[in-house]
Amino acid sequence: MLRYLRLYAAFVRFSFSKAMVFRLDFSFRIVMDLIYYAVNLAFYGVITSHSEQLAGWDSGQVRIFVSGYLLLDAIAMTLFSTNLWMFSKAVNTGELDYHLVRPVSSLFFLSLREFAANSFVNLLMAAGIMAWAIGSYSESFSAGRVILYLALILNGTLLYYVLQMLTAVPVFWTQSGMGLQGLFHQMARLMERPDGVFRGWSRKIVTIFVPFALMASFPARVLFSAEVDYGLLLHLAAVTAAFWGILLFVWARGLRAYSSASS
Amino acid sequence: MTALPTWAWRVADLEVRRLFSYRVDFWVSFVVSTGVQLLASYFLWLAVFEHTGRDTVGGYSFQALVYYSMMAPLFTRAVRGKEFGLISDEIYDGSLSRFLLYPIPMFGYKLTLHAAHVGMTSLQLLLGFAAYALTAGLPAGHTTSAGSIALGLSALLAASVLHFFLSLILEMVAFWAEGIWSLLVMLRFVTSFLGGGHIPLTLFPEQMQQAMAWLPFPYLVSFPLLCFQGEMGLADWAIGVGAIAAWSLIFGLIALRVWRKGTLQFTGVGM
Repeated sequence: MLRYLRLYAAFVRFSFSKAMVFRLDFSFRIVMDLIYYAVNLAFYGVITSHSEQLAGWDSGQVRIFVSGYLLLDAIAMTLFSTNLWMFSKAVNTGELDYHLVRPVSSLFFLSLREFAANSFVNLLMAAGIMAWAIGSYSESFSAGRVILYLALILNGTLLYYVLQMLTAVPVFWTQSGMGLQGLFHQMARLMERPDGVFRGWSRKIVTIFVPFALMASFPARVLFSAEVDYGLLLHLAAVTAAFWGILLFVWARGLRAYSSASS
Repeated sequence: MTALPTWAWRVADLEVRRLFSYRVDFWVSFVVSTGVQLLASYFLWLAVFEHTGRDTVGGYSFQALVYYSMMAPLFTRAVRGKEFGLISDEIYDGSLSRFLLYPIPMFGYKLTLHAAHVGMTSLQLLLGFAAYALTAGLPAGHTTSAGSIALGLSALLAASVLHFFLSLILEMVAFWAEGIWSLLVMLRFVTSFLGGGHIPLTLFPEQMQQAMAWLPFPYLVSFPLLCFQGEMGLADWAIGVGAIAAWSLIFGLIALRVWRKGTLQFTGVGM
């Protein structure tokens, strides 16, 4: 474990050094994410200006929900999204060979070696937006509930990683440019809707089969509820564990199908 | 000048073939993207209408908003055409030099590539429209006709030229900066939101709507879509296309200036 932490610290140091070489790009990316945050807040600002409530949430609760998925997105962008974008190239060019022979978990190395330094700055801003959204809300939350909320957002981030990786891994068989990651980013828009708007068959889809509602919306639901809904927590844990298991299985099968540089 | 149509057709033909070399990606991406958009919009607006109990929001009925929410991203995608990699990759790897030697105008060549993408995504747009009209039916009061579709598509074509110049200017920042991908993503965010790609502009606060009328963004998505839906008469269409032409001229001249400045200090060795 310590060895992995030391390795990760080295990734972070290297990423910051690299980011400082390309300073203008570093600044552009920070502004880009700020615009993304502004657009998302404005989008729900416009919606809630026409409807006092959205799926049972008032404008303050919607703002907290939005800040939740912005934070999740910032964590994902900082930790693993860049790596997953490069994954298909590593498979198609045979670069994956070099990672497989290293004495560390190949999944760990491929998923986390590029720490996005610019996104880390945005992660701090996203955290600030969340602090503002929670702080400006008309009611206060207990510290325990906020900690649980943050833990569930981290769980949502893990689920986001697993789903993104599951759409990247098919490149072992398809050898296409990006695997199915384009589809992932299109489907990820479902994360940006409160789960309360979905009902019937659509609710089953976003809470079980492509569980984007579990990433930011369920955590917000836990934060707002008077009593902790243990059924909801169990659902979150079960779906996350199931998808993690599927990823490990598919990853093992993918490595078996990998034919090195010729793929 | 007389040779222009020949090479332009050949370039467009090659680009379409290249695009269709990943035809499964192209169509699956279209179907999934449209399906997710429809799913997310339908239930979002259903929640809004059920809570407010109103018949219209921002002048739109529930059916009209769902229809708008499905069509707007298709227009946004079509107007973007070849969104990334118009010229920056060639500046970075030094291969831009060929345009300084070839007897083909760089802007014309790039515009042709862009037009090939616009053509293909417009085809998707028409298919999306037909599928929606046949399965769900058009919202009550909509006057989409062959004439309005023609007005909408011609406005879209004009808007795509405006978007081309906006993208080109940002791509040419690559003459001076090492990474411009994020600038194009910024343009995507801004044009989608302020252009009406997410929600109709009539839902925005009044003051914001007035301010946006002075910007080029509403002409990129909202205007062609309203023409397509039959909400703009011939006179409104002519005024809108005139505004697009004026904005295109402004950004075209800026692009030309940036190109001249950039090529003056382009070394051709790549970065």
